[in-house]
Amino acid sequence: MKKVFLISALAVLLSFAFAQQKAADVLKAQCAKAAVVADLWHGFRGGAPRAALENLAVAFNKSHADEGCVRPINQGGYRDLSTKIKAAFAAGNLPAMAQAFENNIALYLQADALQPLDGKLSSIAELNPLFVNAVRFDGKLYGLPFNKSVQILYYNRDLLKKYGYALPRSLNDFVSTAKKLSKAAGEPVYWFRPDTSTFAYWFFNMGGKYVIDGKVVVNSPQAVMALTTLVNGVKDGWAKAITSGYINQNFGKGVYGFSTDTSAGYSYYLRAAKFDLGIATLPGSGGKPGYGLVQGTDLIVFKDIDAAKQKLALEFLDFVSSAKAQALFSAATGYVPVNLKAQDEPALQDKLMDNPDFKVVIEQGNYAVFEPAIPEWEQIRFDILGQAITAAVLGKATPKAALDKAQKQVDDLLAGRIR
Amino acid sequence: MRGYVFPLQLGLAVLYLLLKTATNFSIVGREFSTAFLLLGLLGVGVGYFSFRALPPSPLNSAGLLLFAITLLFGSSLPFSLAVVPLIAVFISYASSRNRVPESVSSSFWGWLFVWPALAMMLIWNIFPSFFALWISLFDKYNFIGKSSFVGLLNYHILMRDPLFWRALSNTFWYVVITVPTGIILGTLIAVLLNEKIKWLGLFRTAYFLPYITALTAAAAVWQWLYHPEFGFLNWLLGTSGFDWLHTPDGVIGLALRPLGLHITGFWAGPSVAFSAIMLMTIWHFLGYNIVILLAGLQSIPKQYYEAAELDGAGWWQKQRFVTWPLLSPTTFFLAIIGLIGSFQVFTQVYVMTPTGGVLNDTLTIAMYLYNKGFRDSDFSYASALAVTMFLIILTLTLIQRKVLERKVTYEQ
Amino acid sequence: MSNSIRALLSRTLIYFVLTSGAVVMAFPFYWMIATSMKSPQEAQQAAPIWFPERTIPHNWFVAARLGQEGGNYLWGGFKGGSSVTLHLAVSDPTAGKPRARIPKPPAAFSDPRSDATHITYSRDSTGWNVTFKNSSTKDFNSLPVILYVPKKCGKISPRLPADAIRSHGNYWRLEWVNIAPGLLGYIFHNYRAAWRAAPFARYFFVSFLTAGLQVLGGILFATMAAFAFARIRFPGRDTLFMLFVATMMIPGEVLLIPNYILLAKLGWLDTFYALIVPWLASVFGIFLLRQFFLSLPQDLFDAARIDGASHWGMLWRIAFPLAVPGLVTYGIFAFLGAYNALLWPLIVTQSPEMRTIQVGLQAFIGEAGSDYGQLMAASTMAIMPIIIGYFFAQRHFIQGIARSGIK
Repeated sequence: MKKVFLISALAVLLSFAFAQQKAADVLKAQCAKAAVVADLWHGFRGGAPRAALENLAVAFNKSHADEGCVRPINQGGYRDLSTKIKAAFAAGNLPAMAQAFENNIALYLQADALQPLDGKLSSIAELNPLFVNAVRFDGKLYGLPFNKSVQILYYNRDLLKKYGYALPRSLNDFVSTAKKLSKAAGEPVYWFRPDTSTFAYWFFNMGGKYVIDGKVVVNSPQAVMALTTLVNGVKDGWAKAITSGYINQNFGKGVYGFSTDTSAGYSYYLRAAKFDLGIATLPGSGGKPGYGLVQGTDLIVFKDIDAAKQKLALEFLDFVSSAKAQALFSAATGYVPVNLKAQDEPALQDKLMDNPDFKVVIEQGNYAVFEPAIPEWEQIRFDILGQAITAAVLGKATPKAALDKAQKQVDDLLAGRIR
Repeated sequence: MRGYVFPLQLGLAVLYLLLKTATNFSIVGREFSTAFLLLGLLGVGVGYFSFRALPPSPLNSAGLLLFAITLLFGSSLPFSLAVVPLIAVFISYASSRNRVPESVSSSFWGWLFVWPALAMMLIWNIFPSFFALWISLFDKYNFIGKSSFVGLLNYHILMRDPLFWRALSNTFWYVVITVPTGIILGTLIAVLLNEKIKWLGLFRTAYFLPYITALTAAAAVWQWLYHPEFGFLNWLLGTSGFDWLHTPDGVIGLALRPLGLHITGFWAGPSVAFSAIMLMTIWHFLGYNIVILLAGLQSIPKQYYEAAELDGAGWWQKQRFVTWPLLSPTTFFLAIIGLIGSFQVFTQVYVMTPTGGVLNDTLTIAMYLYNKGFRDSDFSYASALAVTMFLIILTLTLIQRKVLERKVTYEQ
Repeated sequence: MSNSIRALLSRTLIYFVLTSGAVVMAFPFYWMIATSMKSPQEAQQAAPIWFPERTIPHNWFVAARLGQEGGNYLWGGFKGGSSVTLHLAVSDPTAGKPRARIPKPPAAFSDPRSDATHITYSRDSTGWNVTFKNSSTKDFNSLPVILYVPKKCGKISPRLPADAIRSHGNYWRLEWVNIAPGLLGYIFHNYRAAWRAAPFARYFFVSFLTAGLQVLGGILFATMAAFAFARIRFPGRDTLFMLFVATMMIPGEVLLIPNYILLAKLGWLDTFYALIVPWLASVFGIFLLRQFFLSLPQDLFDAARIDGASHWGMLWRIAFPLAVPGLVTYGIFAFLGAYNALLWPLIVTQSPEMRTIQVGLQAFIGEAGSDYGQLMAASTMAIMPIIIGYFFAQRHFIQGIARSGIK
């Protein structure tokens, strides 16, 4: 009986403390009173992006208190998110808005489930045209480019300074600098994750294209060349494959020199780096920056939902595409400001004053490339091409063999011969 | 014959209710309208049969009439009246229960008691199993696009799907390693716990707690123990930086590498990552084995040991010639449970390696099924996978039964 | 003589094997709880810290006092008008002045806490006192602080140990997640942070409701069917029982997709129905309870029959009370199964309001990122109800599991 008493006393104490102290989550309070609640399903698991999105929603809800509220709901990571959206099709409980990649949009359009956004965004003319074009399907706009990140070059300033090397500005320069630095440091300094994103940098800048004559090709000569470069990099000791977690999570494990990684990781890199971290536009060719793969999602609005929710959702999209919201979001998260006018906003000006390096991200946004927007791309990217790249880098297959196998799988997948 | 009156009535009434619900929620299509016709005709037949078999009374006749009529016009009856035939059965029973032999009223009660569970089984287990088989014959059945009948195409693709074979070989290693290890370790600990020791409760709790710990939480804890940089295990073994959960090399291959042998593929064994997951799994279910084995040990009659002692058997011989054979029904049970369970491993893999490992090296059948069905929304292919898996388990269980049963000594 | 030595030796060996095994089995639990008391920096050490700062009694007193200054000695906080003073002992107070700031949430349009906090510094012979005054009337539930101290000041020892210390140019950067934590707020910081970061209260509610109703419904259906199979003679009984047993061969994975589609058509996805209804009938329960009813003496039922009891009456008044041990076994099993399930609730729920604790925890694993302290706190919370239940009903748990193995 003593045990019972003790535990129940403890339980009461704890529940009292938690209940009393639980922060009145602003969003929750806003949505508790609201007549219309438009859900936004997102894949920001935590950190600055999630907080920034929630804060944008808070600001929007304040100014639209009489209409309703936008409620961001996390559904895990991006892949979980798309799983959940497909499930919501089945259940018939689609949210008002969601994050979606371009290839997801193509899939949802097969079910004719999306609301076109043409004429709904007041600042459309100010948005980055490269990004906007990527979400046009058959001439109609189906998404608002939102948390767009672009590949940039991260580097260790201390290391470059220590051995007296200049920042590489071209692809060849990059490889040779990495080689020399690795030799000097005694271990590989170019760190990369053996996945489709890293591959994309080398692939696109060697002139590669995924769609040739309307056919998806992943084993073009450029692709083999790009993968061979990475594989040889590992063999020659200037490149190191990181298979667990993000690159910044591995900083403790050796001498870091470079990585070509998404700008979305900038805040994480900064927090993890115990050295002077620099960023730059990607090494390219002909004196111009290299092409950087654009990743990240667009915001979509579903079609068959309650009209009041849809109206609120469209207003929210209008709100987040404004220069001010984009400036705040970009400053907080390091995503590329989709609104080109955002640079003139105080929030982003402050950020640039505080960290002039951030200019790089904005600049790289003008040299952006996209992967094909076909529904099957997600599977190709992760399960076929991604696996082929990993296999080659880990020495389980030669680049040519791995990519040829991947090509066969892609053909089979698109022809419905495999699942 | 009278014993069949109420079971038939109840059966028709419940089936009608199920069918009505199914059509109301458009779970089945128009093609089932013939089923209503069939039910209606059967209803009239059963009604007449009951009328002849049961002692006559006005109330009974009214109930039977209601039963027959509602079933006959079943398809046009509104959904809200779907329980009427069932009520009619109750009326029929209530009006005649005092005038029928006990065996007849027992037949009513027996079926009445069984039907709730039976209906649930039909709805959630039996019909769905056939439905899984059915949709596995379609092409990419999901809620987004259209799909067409393709026969055995999904099975054909499955047989040549490298990821399926990968998942299957992972499952093979899983069975071969975790099941015997779990049984041997479990037997060892159970035998020791059975030696009249002090603090039995304390030891038992220590071994048992992991089993009642939710796998999600346990996997999170082990993921933390395996952390490459800050993990406890790397500190203990002095292997700082070793990434247990992201090393796709097979353990047999790794072990033989110093000898200059390079083995890849299946015979390289389960990957380091998958082995780490298996270790965690053994930790998790060992307590279950111990408790079951301990109960098995305690049910072995003391006389056997006494007789063995009289024959001059030592401790080891007693274990070898008394405990082990008499424990074999229990170990057999654990082997079957382990085999079936290993095809369903999902939680710990999903939590510790959400993408299925670096090179799909931790992919399990259940995980692949989840990926195909719910991530790639291809219900047909996933169903084909599920049906194949069912056949494999069935075959293996039957073989195991045949092979092991001969060796298992059943007491009594 | 040699016999007794051998006996002693073998006893020692038994205890040695059992103890080392038990230590291995229990270690993950210790590590989970120890980590749940650590700050991120303590957790992220290459060499393990066995006793984190938050378990050291001296720090408890400091935390309680600081919590008292902020408003509440148990749970701390930063009440309107209160001021909290942190003493910072340094070797050379004259070498430079520390600088403090209150971190702001990212992308916040404004942050009332940092705007309202007025920070003053005063020097004494042993170091610096940094005072945080809440100049507004708003209450805040915590006071996170970042403090920069010049490296020239020498050795620094703040009264409340910092949660993280980093080098930052010529300064040491000290970070506290909460400078006015209060006694419990200090010890259980990660628990409270995790509890706030995700709606765990709701997760627990969903889990308990789901598991509880599954158990109750399961008991109702299983008892009735089991009683009929064991004690009532009716046509088709044995065939039906075979059918029930045969369904045990169907692995759960086969049912995953058809049942999901069925739920979708019923419009039940993401509702309590989806979590509960498909699991109401359990062949295992029927099997188990049937054994129980079969073992009851026939005389009991004959006597009741003579007294005119119906089958219904016999079931609930005679058989049911006598089957309680079996019911407890089944109840524990069904509850454990429902409470610990991940795959099914993961598939059929989408909104956070419908997540069970396991799905919530799984989501939290992604959200917590590298904050292992919070993650372990959340894991501890998730397993606590079952562990507590085990300590109250140990015998039932063990017997229940043991019984499941007897065919």
